Amino acid sequence: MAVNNINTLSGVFFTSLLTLFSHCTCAQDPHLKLENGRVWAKDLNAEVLYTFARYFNSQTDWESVFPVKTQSGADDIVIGGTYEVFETAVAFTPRFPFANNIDYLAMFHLEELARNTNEIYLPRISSNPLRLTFRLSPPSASPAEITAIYPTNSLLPENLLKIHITFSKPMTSGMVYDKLKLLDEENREVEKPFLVLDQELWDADMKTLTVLFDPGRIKRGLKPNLEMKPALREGERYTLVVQEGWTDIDGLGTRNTYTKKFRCTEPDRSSPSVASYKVHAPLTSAAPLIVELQESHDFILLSRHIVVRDVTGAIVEGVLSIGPNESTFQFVPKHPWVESKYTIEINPLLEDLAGNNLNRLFDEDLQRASSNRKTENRLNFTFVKKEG
Amino acid sequence: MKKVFIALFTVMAATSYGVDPPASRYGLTPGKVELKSAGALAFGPEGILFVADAKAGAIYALDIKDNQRDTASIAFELKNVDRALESFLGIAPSDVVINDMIVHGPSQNFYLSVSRGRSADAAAVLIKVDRNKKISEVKTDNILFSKADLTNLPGPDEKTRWGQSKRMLAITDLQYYEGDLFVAGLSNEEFASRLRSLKFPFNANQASTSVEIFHASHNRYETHAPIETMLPIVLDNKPSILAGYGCAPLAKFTVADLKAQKHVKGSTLAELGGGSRPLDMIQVTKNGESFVLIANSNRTIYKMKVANIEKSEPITTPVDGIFVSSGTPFVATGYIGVLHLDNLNSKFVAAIQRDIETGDLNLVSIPMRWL
Repeated sequence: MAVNNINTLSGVFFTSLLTLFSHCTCAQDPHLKLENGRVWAKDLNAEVLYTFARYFNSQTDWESVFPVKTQSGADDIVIGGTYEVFETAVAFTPRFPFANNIDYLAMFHLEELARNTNEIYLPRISSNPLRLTFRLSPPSASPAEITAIYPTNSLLPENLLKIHITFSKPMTSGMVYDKLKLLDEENREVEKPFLVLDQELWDADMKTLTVLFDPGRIKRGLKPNLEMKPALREGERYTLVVQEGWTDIDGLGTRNTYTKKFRCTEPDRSSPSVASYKVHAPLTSAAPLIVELQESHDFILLSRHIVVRDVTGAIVEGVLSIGPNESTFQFVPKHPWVESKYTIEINPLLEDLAGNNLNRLFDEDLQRASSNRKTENRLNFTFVKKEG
Repeated sequence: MKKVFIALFTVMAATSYGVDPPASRYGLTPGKVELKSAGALAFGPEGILFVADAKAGAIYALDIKDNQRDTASIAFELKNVDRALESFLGIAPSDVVINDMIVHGPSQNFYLSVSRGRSADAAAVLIKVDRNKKISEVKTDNILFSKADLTNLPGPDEKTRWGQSKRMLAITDLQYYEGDLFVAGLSNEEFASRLRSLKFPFNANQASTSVEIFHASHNRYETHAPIETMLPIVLDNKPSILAGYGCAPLAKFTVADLKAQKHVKGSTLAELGGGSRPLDMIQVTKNGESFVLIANSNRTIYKMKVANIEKSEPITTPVDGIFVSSGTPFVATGYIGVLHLDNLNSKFVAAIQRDIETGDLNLVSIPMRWL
């Protein structure tokens, strides 16, 4: 368009009138657009924009010309972000990406952009700002499912300390104490069984959650224990319920209610005994090493607190998998076993289901026990190739 | 001569205050801090802000360069602070989680650690609310900082390379006292309540110490329950830590014991009453007398005389009823719904308070004269 090439002040001014305020067909009218996570005010008049940027280029100025807000939020607060001025456009980049399922409103006050009258003459202009509302939808996805609840055993000690819930996809925090319930034999809800923590114990990708039973109710002699009694009692049956509607990363609620039924056994007041572990040495050079633990152990700790060393003390690479009820594990080496002695080393921090580790009881009676004793944490086995 | 003196004085002043900024004294270096989470907050010397990043297993010391000064003793109110943050962060109100609030004493500006979102991709944000209620972000993409790593604590892991850690850490409180930063928390792996003590300035070569603490119940069973909130305080002329536990004993430890021993037994001075969690504790002075204020999940703010805490004997007998309190006497004030509490100025304390009638979450000041 020829008129855009006129380089005199009056010519530029003429152009600005055309593009900003007239409805001619020569250029697109100023408009707002959402593009790649930024809100753009496009096809603005270059000269008007340049002049504004020269006189009023502060963050506050831009926030008043080009506010971007959530529709439900406070009226006087705009979304934090940065404004970038181009020749005929301004881009707003929010400090944090626009979220799904939220109604946003962007406005651009053309009148305010043209408020500087030092250099150019402006006629009466429309006070109608540009307006854009938008809402992002998450990509279609299926809701999360619960893949496991640990411990998997259906017989659990009265002083059970932890449960771990694993999900098929990343979840959101803030729902655990609403969704997780403990019911007694008559389906009455057990009151306050869990330790309430502001920071819930999720793993980094938020697919595994650890919940602790209130230690005050487990430990003997502590006030909650005396007043409220333990949440779990020997001989009784319970149902752990994970109610539907637990929101995942895509904003979808779980569709099903999951339950785990168990019966309580007597409290476990002894440390795991490595000496009682039963080792089944591998029968062939590629066969697994199998260890029976004689009792259920904490799933997460068991997953990482066992190493196998060769005769030189070097760690044997391989895959450890945990068996039924978390009371056995097997270890398959990456490279075949060689005829030699091996050592299984267990981190003394390994715990049973009641939080007792190799060296210390969770609930120590000071009048009896010696705290922090050291116990054996190694087991040896020898791999012997069978003849033939 | 006069001119020379003035010049000399100027040079000296510049040497002590201008040329040697906090950064060089505390070993801070410029760089980008990417917070994975922002939880407990504490102020250290010269306005250095400590931020607990439990997801990263680290504590950051940040030079936030808040040079504003406000010595007025006036009130403050920002109603619906959660809605204000919702607007500023551009997210749904239910996705704004305020993890902690602290007041920068010299400026009386408020600092909040906030999660924007509740999923694994939630952003950790440090927010400043100034006296004019202006909300801004404390940007950390180019900031003077240092970092203390909590994941490489000495322990049984030291000698053996165990499998991939799935440790989930929760840091419940952070307090700075004369060169020591105390970090309370627990993890899913080792439940034992550990009070970590870090020297500040942080020193990469110096291992942080981890003290196993417990308080005896009736002198018989030890408890490793996590400390919910703590307060550095001088009791009987000894620097001490007052520790509040869930459900709801209040115990004290001396700093000297925490520094000298690996396994420290605190004494339980009070039971604040079952079914509650202490959320924040501060020390205030009113009419020349010193008090501790305790915000509590299911109670009003409790007020205890420091003199009474000093006089308290360890509790040796259980209370006889579920919500009964015992030990150090206290006054239950008329302020309820207080989730975070800090000192503001000589006439007011600062609080994030849930209005129990409207449900609004407000950032407010509470007058000392009513406390």
